[in-house]
Formats: sequence, C-alpha cells, structure tokens
Amino acid sequence: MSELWRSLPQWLTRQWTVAPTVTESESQWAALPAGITQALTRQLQALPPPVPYTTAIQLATREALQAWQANPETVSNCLVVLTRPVDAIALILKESLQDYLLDYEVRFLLSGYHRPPNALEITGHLQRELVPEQKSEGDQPAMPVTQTDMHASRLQINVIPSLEPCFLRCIQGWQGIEYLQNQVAQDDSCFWVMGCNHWAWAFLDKVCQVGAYLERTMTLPSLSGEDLADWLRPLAEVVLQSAPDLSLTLQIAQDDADFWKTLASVSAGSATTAAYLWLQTLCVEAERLAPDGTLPPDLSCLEITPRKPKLPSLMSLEALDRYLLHALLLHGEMTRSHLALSMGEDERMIRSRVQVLRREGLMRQTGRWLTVHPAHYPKLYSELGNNNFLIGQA
Amino acid sequence: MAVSLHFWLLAQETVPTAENLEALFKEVTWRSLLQALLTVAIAYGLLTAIQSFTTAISEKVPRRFRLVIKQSVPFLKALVLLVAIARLLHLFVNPTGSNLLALTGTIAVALGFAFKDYVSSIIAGIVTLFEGSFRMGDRVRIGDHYGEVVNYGLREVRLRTPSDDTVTIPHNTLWNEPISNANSGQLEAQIVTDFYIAHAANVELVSDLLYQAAYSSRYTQLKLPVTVIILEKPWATQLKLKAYPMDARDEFIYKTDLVLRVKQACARHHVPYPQVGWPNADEASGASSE
Repeated sequence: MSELWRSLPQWLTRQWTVAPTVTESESQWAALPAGITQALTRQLQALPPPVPYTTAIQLATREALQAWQANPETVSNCLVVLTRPVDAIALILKESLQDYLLDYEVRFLLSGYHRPPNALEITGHLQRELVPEQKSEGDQPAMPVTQTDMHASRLQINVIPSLEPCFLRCIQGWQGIEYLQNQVAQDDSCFWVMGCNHWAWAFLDKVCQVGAYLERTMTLPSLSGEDLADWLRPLAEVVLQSAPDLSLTLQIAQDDADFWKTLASVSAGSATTAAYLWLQTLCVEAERLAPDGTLPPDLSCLEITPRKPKLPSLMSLEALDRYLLHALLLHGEMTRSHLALSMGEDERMIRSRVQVLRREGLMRQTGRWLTVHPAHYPKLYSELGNNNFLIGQA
Repeated sequence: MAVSLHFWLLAQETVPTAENLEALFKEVTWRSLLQALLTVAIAYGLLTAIQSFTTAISEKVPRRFRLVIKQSVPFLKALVLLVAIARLLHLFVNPTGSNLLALTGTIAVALGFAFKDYVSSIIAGIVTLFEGSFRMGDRVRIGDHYGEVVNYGLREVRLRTPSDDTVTIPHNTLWNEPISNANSGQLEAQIVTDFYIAHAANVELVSDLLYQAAYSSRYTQLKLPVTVIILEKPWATQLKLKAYPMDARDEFIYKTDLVLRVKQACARHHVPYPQVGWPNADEASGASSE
C-alpha cells in the first residue's frame, strides 16, 4: 500500500506534465518523407543484432553447456533466453549461435514456424519436428567419461528460436509447451537453447510451471548509450536507389554522447525500441522540402538530423484495448482470429478496436500478423503493469 | 429509550443558567456571523469538491491506484468537518472545561430527543471507519444488499448494486447487520462459479478444463491461485471453480467468460450434463458467487 502511495504521484506527474510548446527553432524542422522513413526502416531491420546481445547469449550458452556437461545429473540441459516482447528473439538467437558453437552439432528447429490456424495442432507439429531428432535407446552414445571422450563426441544442441508460436492462450492451447518441457526433461542426450519473451514466460510459468522444467534462464542485457551508438552508426550514410539512374544519399548527423544516453534511457535499454525511437527523432530542415512535404526531384544528398528522443504519447486506452495489447505482447505476433480466440470474443467484436489501435500506431500489421509497435512498448509496460496485468520482468 | 434518559439526566446536571450563558458564548457580531457562514460555505464546497474530484480521478487513473484514491475520501471528508466544527466553536464558544461540559449537556438533551438516530448513524460511521470492516471501492453485502461502496457519507453508506441501483444504508444499521466483504481493499475478489456434470462424465478431464478456462480467461488475475473443488450430489457432480478476476468489478462478465469457455470445451469433448428436472431451488441456481 505504501508503495502505491509513492508511485501514484509519480504517475500523475508523468501524465500531467505539460508538453513544451513548439519554439521557433523547433518549427524549422520537418518530419522525414514517408518513403525515406520506410527505406530506413528496412535498413534497420537488416541490421545484425547488437554485439552485447550476441556476446551475452554466447557466453551464457557456453557456461550453461559446460555446467551441464560437468554435472548432467543435477544441472538443467536447457537455457532459455528471455527478451522483451518487441525484440526479434529468433533472429538474435540465430545470429548468436549459428557460427559460434562449431565444436557442437547445432540444429535450429521450428525456424520460421507460425502458429497454425487451429492452435490444437501445435503439439502434432512439434512431435513431427522433434521426434526425428530423437535417437532410439540403442543408438545412444555412451556418456563421455574422460576429457578425450568429451572431445570425441559431438554433442547436439537444439535451438528453438521462439516459444511464442508454440502456444495460444485458450483451453488446451499450451499443450505444445507441456510436450516440449517433457521432451527436454526426458531427453538428456542433447542440450536445448530456447528463446521466449518475459511476458509469455511469466504466463507459462503460472499455467504449466515451465520454469520448473526449463530452470536455467538468462535475460538480454540493457544497452547503454555507447552500445546503441555503435549499433546504429553503420546507418550514418545510406544510399537509396530511387530510380535506375537516380540515387539519393542520406547523411545522418551523428549526435553527441548525451543524445545516445537519453535514447538508452527512454528506451529502457531495448535495442528494438531504441531503433524505432531513433527513427522517429530524425528530421530534415523544412526549407529542404517542397511545399507539399516531398523532396525536390534534383536532390542527390540529404542531411538528416536526430532531434531529442522522446517516447510517443499513448492514446487513452479503453479496457478492451488493454486486453488486446496484453494478448499481443504475450504472444509476440498474432492473427486477428487467434487474437479473438484468446480474448474469448467473436472476431467482429475486436475488429474495430484493432483498427483504432493500428491507426494510432500502437499495433502494426505485417501480412496477416499483428504486433505491438516497439516505440510504444515502454509506456505500455507501465500502463498494463499499473492496471494489474501479469507482465514480465523488464 | 435508555440512551435518551441518560442524556436527559446529564443535561439536568449541566443545564446552563442565565448567569453563565454570557461566559459560555462569545459575543455574536456581524463579523463572526459572516465568518461562520464563510466557514460553512467553504466546508460544503470542499466536501463536494472532494467527492466529485476523487470520483472523477479514481475512474481515470490505472486500476492499481483506483482504490487508494477512493479509500482516502472518508478521511478527507472527516478532516474537513473536524476543522469546520472546530472553527465554528472557536467563533461562538469560550472553550473552557466547564463551558464545554455545559454545552455538551445542552446538546445531549436536544440530541436525545430529536436527533438520536442521526447521531447514532454518525457515531456508527466513525466507528466503522476506524474498524475498517469495509472501505470505499469494496464489494460488500450488508443485510440483503450487495454492491460496491461508492460513497461514505456522514450519516450513510451508498452501494451500487449489480443492477446499477444505488442503495443508501444508514450507518446505524451496521451496528446489527453482518457485513460480508469480498475484496477488503484489494482489487481482486474471489469468484466462485458452479458447474454441474453427469455422474458418468470424466471428472478429471472436466476439472482440467476448468483450470484451463480460468488460466485462459483474459480477466483472470494469474498472480493468485485457481482452485477446483469437486462435490458429489445425488443428481450430478458439482465442480466449483474458484478464481480471481484482475478487477472485482468484472465479477459477472468474468463468470460469463468462464461459463462460455467451459461450455465450448465440454461440447468439444462431449461431456454429458446431468439429466434431471429441477432440484431444490438453492442448488439449481447455476453459477453463483460466494
């Protein structure tokens, strides 16, 4: 209760702090044309994960492997990498482990797997994917005893990039996870690395005690301003091919250490959130644009300046919006029909609110898949936490 | 009656005489009258503002802060009243020990005959406030009335019932009525939903479906336990699903969601329902909360 009394004034202050009025110096800047923003978004998505992420995963995996090999009877043969729901964990895990554990046989299972329309089929899909990898008891290699034995046997490491597609919050929707945790517990001939977001992990731990089976977890580190600067620096100069014979060079001014420090602070150290916030800070001088906000056709070089990073404002959410966003953060990405099923509603009941949330920029749609926009994640984290939802640890 | 007699005897002992009336009251001037009027107006304005402001803001803040704000209302109101009464006494009464005794005796006579129930309600309200048997925002059952406490006044408490009626209950009713509190200052309240299946049904399967229905409902507070109790009746097997919604206000919509989910799952698994006529009324009420 005392904690509530302490946090209430903080919340009120955050809500009712008057936004600074636009000064004359601010009005000289204009937002990027939509085409350039889209091109930069594609460039961002093509960036490899930040080095601190890959390093942390590699070290944790190596450490967990060695601990398990040294004491297979008592140490878990699994490592779960926990991330924020907006982080592309599958990509991060793949980049981290693909060319790292060369002395092991690394298999990436369920790569690119999407939740099937009928969520009850997930267990069958997992069985088909995992059973061929299981060895019959006669084929089991003898447990290495000496150091020479250890080097001679190439251990298998199964990597499941993301657990989110393996469950849906509905009756019998997490049977796939139960099957998976039983497989890991029963099969001690190989090591497992899995990715999962904090919110899904907290939920699965409540409903099927996944933490008791997959007990070893690691969390991705929060990135500092320097880490973010190093990661986003390759985008200092981007060449866009606007036509076969025309190219536009974007030169992004590198800001000082304070800018990156602020970016790390407002994004709570999340790379994905920081990347999208950074994208939103980019501006051009208004006088460089045509009156209709487009670029002059003869322009070959455009200097882009990052402004002070700040979180986008959050619309006033209805109760249904919060449930929708919570479901989306829990599952990472979802189709409308899965979202409706997990909400226990008919699809047409949620359609209008999904449209509103998309229009406000809180939700994004890629093909049939809905996700939460990473730039809104820090505020949604506070909003849903303050509304008594079960949320993952930041 | 006994209380009235007690007040009357007390008043006889302390009734003010003509000589000490001057010493009891200060001189009434236009200035003091205006100040008194201003005090009453400010107090009334503050009480109205506290009620309106806290009601408005508690519905706008996140759930976690709603009850904290609501629970502060009675204390803020009591503070305003206390300051206003003290100010009025200071304006018109010489506050010596004997004067106060005389004054209370006079007031006792008046109250004993005219405002006995009103004062009883006020005292009961103060006692209840400090006993903490319920607070603003709690979901309580007082006698036959169940609902959310939406106002805690000087004389009465107001409940908003599930049918959106407002029931006004004088505080002195609380002296003798049992008070059942569903959430005791917390956002969550345990909701019990009853399900009935045929004796021939697979009870383990249905029990598992009930657990999963609770865990999969968007309203469920996952931080709190979910329990299924199985009871055997002559005409069916009864399963009680005990779970907590994230917000006690969602009690009925939560039950609806649970029933829908369970019925869909039972239909998928062809779970047989009991084939009986109406049993006695209290067991046939279907989903019920406790």
